[in-house]
Amino acid sequence: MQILSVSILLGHSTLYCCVSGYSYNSNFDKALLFGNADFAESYSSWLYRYSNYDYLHNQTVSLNVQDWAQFFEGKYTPDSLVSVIYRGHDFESNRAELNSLRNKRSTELKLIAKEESFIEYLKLALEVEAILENNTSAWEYDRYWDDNPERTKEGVLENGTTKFNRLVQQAEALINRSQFSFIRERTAYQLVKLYRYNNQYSLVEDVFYQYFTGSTSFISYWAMEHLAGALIHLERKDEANYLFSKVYMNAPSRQISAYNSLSFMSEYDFDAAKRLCISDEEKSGLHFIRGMNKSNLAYDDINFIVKSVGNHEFVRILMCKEIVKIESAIIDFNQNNSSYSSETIGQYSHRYALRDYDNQYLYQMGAFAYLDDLIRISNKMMSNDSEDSFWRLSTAYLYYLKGDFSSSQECLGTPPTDQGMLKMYEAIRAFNVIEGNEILSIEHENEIGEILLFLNDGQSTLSSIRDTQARITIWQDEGTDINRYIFNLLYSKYLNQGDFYKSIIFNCNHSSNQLLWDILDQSTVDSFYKNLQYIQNLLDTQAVSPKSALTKFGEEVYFAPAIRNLTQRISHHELSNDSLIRIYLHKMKGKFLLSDLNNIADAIKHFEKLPEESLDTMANNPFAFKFKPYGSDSIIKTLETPWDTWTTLDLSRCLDSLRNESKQEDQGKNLINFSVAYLTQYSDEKLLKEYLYEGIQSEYLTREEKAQALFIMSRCDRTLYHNTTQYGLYPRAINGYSIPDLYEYRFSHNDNMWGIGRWLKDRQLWKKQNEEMWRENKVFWNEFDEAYSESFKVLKEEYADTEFYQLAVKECAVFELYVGM
Amino acid sequence: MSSCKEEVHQQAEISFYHWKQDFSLDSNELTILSDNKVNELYVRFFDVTLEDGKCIPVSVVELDTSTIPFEIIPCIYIENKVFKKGVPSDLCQNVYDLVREIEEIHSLSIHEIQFDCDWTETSGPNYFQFLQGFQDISSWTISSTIRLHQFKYPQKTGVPPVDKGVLMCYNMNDIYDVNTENSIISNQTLKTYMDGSTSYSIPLDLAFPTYHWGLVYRLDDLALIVNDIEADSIPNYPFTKLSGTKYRADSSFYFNQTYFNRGDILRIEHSETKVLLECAETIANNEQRFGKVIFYHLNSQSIPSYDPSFFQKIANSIG
Repeated sequence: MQILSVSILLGHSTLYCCVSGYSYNSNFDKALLFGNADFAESYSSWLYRYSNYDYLHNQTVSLNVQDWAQFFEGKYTPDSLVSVIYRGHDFESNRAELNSLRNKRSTELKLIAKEESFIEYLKLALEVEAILENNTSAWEYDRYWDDNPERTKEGVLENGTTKFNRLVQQAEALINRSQFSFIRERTAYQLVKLYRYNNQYSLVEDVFYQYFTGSTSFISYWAMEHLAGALIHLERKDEANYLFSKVYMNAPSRQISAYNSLSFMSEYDFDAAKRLCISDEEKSGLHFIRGMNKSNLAYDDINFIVKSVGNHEFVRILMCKEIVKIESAIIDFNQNNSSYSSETIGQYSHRYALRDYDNQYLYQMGAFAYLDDLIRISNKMMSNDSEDSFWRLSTAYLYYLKGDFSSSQECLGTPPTDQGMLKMYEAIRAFNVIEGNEILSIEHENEIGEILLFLNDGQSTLSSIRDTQARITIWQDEGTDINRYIFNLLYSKYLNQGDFYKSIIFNCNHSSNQLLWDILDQSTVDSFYKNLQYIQNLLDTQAVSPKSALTKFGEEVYFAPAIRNLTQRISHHELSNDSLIRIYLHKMKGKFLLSDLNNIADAIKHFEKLPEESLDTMANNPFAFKFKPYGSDSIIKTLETPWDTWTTLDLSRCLDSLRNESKQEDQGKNLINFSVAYLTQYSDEKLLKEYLYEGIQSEYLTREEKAQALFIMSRCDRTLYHNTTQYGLYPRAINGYSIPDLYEYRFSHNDNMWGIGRWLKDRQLWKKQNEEMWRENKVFWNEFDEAYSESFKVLKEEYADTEFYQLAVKECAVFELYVGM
Repeated sequence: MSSCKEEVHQQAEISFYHWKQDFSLDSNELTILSDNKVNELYVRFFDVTLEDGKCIPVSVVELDTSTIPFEIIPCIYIENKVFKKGVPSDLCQNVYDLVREIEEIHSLSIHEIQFDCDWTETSGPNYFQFLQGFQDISSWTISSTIRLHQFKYPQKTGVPPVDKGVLMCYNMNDIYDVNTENSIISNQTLKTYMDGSTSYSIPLDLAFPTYHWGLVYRLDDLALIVNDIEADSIPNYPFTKLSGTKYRADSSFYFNQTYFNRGDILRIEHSETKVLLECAETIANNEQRFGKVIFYHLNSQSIPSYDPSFFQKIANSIG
């Protein structure tokens, strides 16, 4: 059964985002500025309609069924008509469809006649829809509004076929006999479609003017668009452009198609269409359309509209678009850049300060000259209509972009009453405070903190400040984010000032989950004690009070995951966020201490001071080591412990005990246990290898234990190899010292077979891999084998008689492969 | 050394690219082809792109081959993003089938196919895998375009597994920079890629530009590219000349079917005979030899601006 799930108007609901793109990140937030507009009526609706297919489709359906509901004088609700018109099943019979339609009997004869007439029309419309679908490639018909807009659509129906002729006759008959002008228009629209797709363009015109002259109905604009398309083929381009512009202005549901169908290739084209306009608003509409073109600068068009119709919505929308355009030339948002660093963050500062304008003419004709133009016109509009908050906000924001923060502040004036406008107002105020003051005082910080709380309805969050409705229905695809912009300005400022703590908490791309990485990023020397000092600095800075509203906001955003986690664990203590953050930082310090062999005792002392519930529990057995890194449950258990009841403190105590015992001559096994625990808990293969190596040197270790240690070392090699080659020499360990220098350092002072020579080889291979990505894998793996079969070889050559060796060969296919080589 | 070079010197064959969606040749274009004894024409058949994660052909050529006494070599442009995450399944077969369909529809006899992809270190292995796969299913000679940096750094970028390559001697400088003198071609830039001893491990043809365009910079960024723009008509419009090739729009107006805004900077770029001959000399002084020179692109609006002997001169230089 053919599915006719689409509109009986034109048939197709798959309306794409097609208007020359207007999807930008912007601080001048359309959702806040136009959020209260009536979407269906306002021209501003066009700004977002294109970007949301579902919204657009729903709007079209809604407008259509409302039109029909009105025809039925309220007997049927718009919603009840949706499934009748936008159906998923074939038309049955007039009687069956009529019965299905009637949810209640009516005694009013006129309504009965309307229902019967509707069913007749429905049957015809579905047939027209079907014939168009069957005779047109999906590309030509379904997407005519997109790549192939109305103006280029070719006729597709074969002339004179029986079915075509029958449909034309049926349509004409229905028009003649229907007593309702509504039905006559709808049917005429079907006739227009038939002629249009049959290349009978003159007949399209005849039908249109016969049935739609003077009409301003919903369907008349849909028909007008077909007429405009027909006129293109009749080489009457000027009229076509004029009609497309009328459709654009009056039929929100057809704006995209009409916009894409307009064609102005010369001044003559534009003026010719303009001469056909009958009012200043129509003329302004043409300028509005031209100004909305993504590539164009709308300044001249704005001027025309202002002169013609004054402070029209056209002007505000165009200004909004121009601000976005000029803003994108001045601020590079690039919010998707995941690799935030001090270099990339610099982009948030004003570019003009960094640019070397040695070509004066480029400066004069570039973005800043245009910014001055926009300031001029925005200022003028503000002076003419001081009650309109939009112009105060636009002028203030333009001055902000120019770097004139005092003028910006002055333009803001008194706060607007509209909530969206007020948020925009407060956001600009925050921008000015941040950028207008080299050093932020405690008062400034309180002011910004309070603004952030206001923008976010009292919550410390970085989620969108737009109201839920606007965010979900209209703006969901857009990435505007004033919160993040403010955070990035602050991050940039604090980073430049060397404020370590604030540059961490205002890094909105990170959260406390990345705290250790943030600390290590700050470190210029990879030294355990240096990094420990950073953690202590964090603790000291965090303890400073009183705190500004801004610092509190930033802390609560950055430490949000930690606060959530600790609140769940120790909720009965009812600790403040400040206290929870301190506990979290102390936990970090404890973990960090634990990562160093010589500081386990200090780690224990540290953990002992913290509430027991706050300590992490063991997620897996620290003394169980998987034979294979992936896809196997076969494990080597080196020590039996009640690990599943342990916290980090228990593990620390156990490690301390093992470490101390391993100092005794006959306790080499403990060293292995200790090493395995380190590996499983901290994934630090480098450290583990050092301990294992130390353990293997112990003459009291049995051969079985040494074989076990060698196998684990081989696995470490393999993991390290993957880390160094695939992840660019960055370890993934919790205490992951992040640069190769440390790697070098750690091994260079420990002259063994996995020492500096291995590191150099790693680095060489890593470099080669980058250069030779295109090579076949075989070459790559050969090099891998050469580098890493060594420890396997030692195991095979010296420990083949051990039980462990036999087990390893059996359990680990990779090992077997290497042994076999 | 130089006498040895002269002994083996032969004139390179001349050919042209046809890079429009509608393929039909007017009398001027036919004359150019005939005068330069062109036997083969490189015709863009379609582009391959990713849309909604699916690999699809776009802008498939519409051929009118009724008057073409040349062998047609299909060119397929594949966007780099197609190979970003691997080789799309069935891509080889789909491309092959579509080319065969076009071949059959127009009764062509295809012997060679050319792929154009600006591969990177990430996409390169996948693109090469695609080429390998295509070789497995077709008996055609396969060629691939080679960018200048790929020519200079084959160790880094790899060499595509094809029968031959075409070194693209155009799009040399930064098109987005308003200060660039000429983004199409520059002998100075070419010299940085050809240091005399540079050579490639597979046979190469050479592609040379014969196009011109206007680049429109708006708010300091490249906003529009206007094809086939002629400087001759500029005096009739409100432009102020800023330098040899740069103009500033003094008001907003339509020119060459394009809406210019006040303040726009227009830079007109040509593939000038003098520069092309200098480039040909630079190439001739390099060890790498080229079997054929293919001019991009056949266009009766721009080609007549070259002296009739121009194409032969270039072919003589680089052969």
